[in-house]
Amino acid sequence: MGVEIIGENGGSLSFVLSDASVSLANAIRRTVIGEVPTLAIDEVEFYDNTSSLYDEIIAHRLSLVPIVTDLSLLNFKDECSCEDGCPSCEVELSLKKKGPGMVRSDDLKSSNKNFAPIPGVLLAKLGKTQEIDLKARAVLGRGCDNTRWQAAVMGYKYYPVISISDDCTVCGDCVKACPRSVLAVKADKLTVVSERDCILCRACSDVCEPGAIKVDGDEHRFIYELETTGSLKPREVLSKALDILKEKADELSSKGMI
Amino acid sequence: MIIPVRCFSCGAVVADKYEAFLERKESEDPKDVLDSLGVKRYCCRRMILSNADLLDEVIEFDEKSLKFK
Ligand SMILES: [Zn+2]
Ligand SMILES: [Zn+2]
Repeated sequence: MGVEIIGENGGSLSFVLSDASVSLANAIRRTVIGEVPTLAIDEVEFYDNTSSLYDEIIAHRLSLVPIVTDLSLLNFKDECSCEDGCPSCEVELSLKKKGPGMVRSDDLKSSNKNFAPIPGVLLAKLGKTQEIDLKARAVLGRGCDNTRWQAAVMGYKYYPVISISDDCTVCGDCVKACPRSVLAVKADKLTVVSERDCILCRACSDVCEPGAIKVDGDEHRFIYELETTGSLKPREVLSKALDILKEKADELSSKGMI
Repeated sequence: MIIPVRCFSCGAVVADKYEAFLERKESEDPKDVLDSLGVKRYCCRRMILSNADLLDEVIEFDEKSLKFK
């Protein structure tokens, strides 16, 4: 089994997983989406809200704002040694704003500067006479419990294998048909320029008169794309997910189930 | 009403890109703006493209009706 990183850009990461089975590939995806812990607002206390949005709408919008999370500094609330919330399992945030104007996640002040909400998320809009004053508590959670704790968006596809036989007449129809410009005619020969961009739509083999192009997915090689919501770094999400997956597998094997 | 914080289908955050989109779509092709903002899946693109901003009208209504109370 091997992992090769093919692209990294701020909040996103793409990599190729090779010599793996479909079930493992999907297990990794599901662990990344559902099991990696992140911070999100769980409880909101309103002191004042004269805006045109109901308390529930604002609380719901607040909960979906990703908060930058340092996993080494926080415990799950139910696993913490405290009775009812403490600074090592909860982060307090407050928001106080008078209109007119936009309320953004930048206005949400965190009590701990290690855990700040990502900037620029539109929360509400206030008129001249309106204001919002609230306090919120964020706790660690998992994406499988609620979307607000989802650490990343992740998907994968089979590695495209494009084969061109000698029947090719270099008519160029397939080059025009491909939505991702995977094919090109170079020096009177049809060549595959960027096979990783292929989405296996087979538009090329559909228009090919002599049937010279065959597009298939390699069922043991996968191209992944991972995009974080902003609370963790993409590599952090992936390595945490693999740790969790390994832990779960160890637990199963210690019970003699695999 | 107001742009949803996350995409309904995939869960990616879209509300932090909406204002930039509104501003830039005036002078650029909306397709290019979405691409450069990193909104590449069509589920997220429809969140931004199909949003109807009605909050301004509601605020106006709320503030005017408050005067007559
Ligand atoms: Zn605690
Ligand atoms: Zn989406």
